[in-house]
Amino acid sequence: MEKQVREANSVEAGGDSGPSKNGENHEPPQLANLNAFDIIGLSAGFDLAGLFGDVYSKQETRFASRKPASVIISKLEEVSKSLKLKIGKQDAGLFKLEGSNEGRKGALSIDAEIFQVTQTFHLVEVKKCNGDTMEYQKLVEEDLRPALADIVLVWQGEKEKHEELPRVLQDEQEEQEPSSSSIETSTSNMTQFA
Amino acid sequence: MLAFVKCFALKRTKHPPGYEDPHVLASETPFTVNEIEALYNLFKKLSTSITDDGLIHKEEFLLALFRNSSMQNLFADRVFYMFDRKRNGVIEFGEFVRSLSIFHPYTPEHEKSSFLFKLYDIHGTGFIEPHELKKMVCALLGETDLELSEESIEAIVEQTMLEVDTNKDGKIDEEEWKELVAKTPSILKNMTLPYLKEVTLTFPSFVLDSEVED
Repeated sequence: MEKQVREANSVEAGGDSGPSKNGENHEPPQLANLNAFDIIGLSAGFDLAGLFGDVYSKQETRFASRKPASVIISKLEEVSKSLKLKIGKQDAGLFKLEGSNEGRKGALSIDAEIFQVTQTFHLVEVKKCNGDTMEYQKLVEEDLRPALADIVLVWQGEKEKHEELPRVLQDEQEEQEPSSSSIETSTSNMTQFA
Repeated sequence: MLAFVKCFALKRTKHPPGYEDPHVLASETPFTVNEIEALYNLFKKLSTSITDDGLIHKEEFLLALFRNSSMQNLFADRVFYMFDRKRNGVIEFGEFVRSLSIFHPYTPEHEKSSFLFKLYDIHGTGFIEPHELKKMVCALLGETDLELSEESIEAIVEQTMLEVDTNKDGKIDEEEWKELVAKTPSILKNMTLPYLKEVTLTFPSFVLDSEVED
């Protein structure tokens, strides 16, 4: 997705803050905010890959997180390091993770892009940019997902498998300061978005 | 009736209604003849999964997308509706190829943009109106189990209208839509399926199959 920072929705105006070296946030990071069309575009109904069977396997996936952006970014940095991937910030909320080994189709390169729904609710889109799809999927399934487990609320497309999550966010709603666009949320689980 | 249909079938092979010659389709879409033959084999698989009539019914479409022939999904319904150009409730082969071709990487952006605008214009008024936007946002939220308050949803819609409805007439016309697309091309992201360039790589055997029929 393209990155735009919308002023009305953005409580985190202010300078560009790259991945923080010491894991603490100095300023809240600038991220892309979603408008109605971006949100609608997440629908599984647009994912026509299913017409082609399992042949065209996913080269991207998304997960939801209840953590603040700075925590997500720190986690991505930590995970990259442990997987020996180089992480670099491309743009607001967009990070590139690159492997050094030349796989069958070039070095593996993954984009991780963070979108804000609210200050404590983010969507992260993980997608393969370059390299072998099988290698990418293996990395995501075996390495990335377990490593990100403690910041992930739910991964895309897991609606059926997922047990009832407690409605924890109703408590969060009371504590949370409304942003200028007054978005308050209560969620049970975030699922099945494509 | 069947005899009548058979009169129109090619001598060697029988084709369902709505079949179009691959050479014709190739001349009018970015697909090559080989790719269209490969797509025909895919089409046959999809169109006979529930009703063996060589036409893709809604249930078969939903089965392919969701593994659930009775899935409720507004956007899948709209995609089906858009593919069903003749609006006769089924997707024929010609419609299948021509509609898929909109998603081809080589198809010009303005075609994708126009397709998506019509898809989003769920009441077919020629405009995307706030209540349609709201309905679509709610539908998406329904897919995710994320609940936002009424106010939040309206705030999102209002914010979008503010940004997109530049002539302030309370609705989004196709000009304003084009401006939005120009500003944020990612809105068309769903409209390109990169692997459409590779159908024959994945289904090489089908190219031969298509000549040996039924």
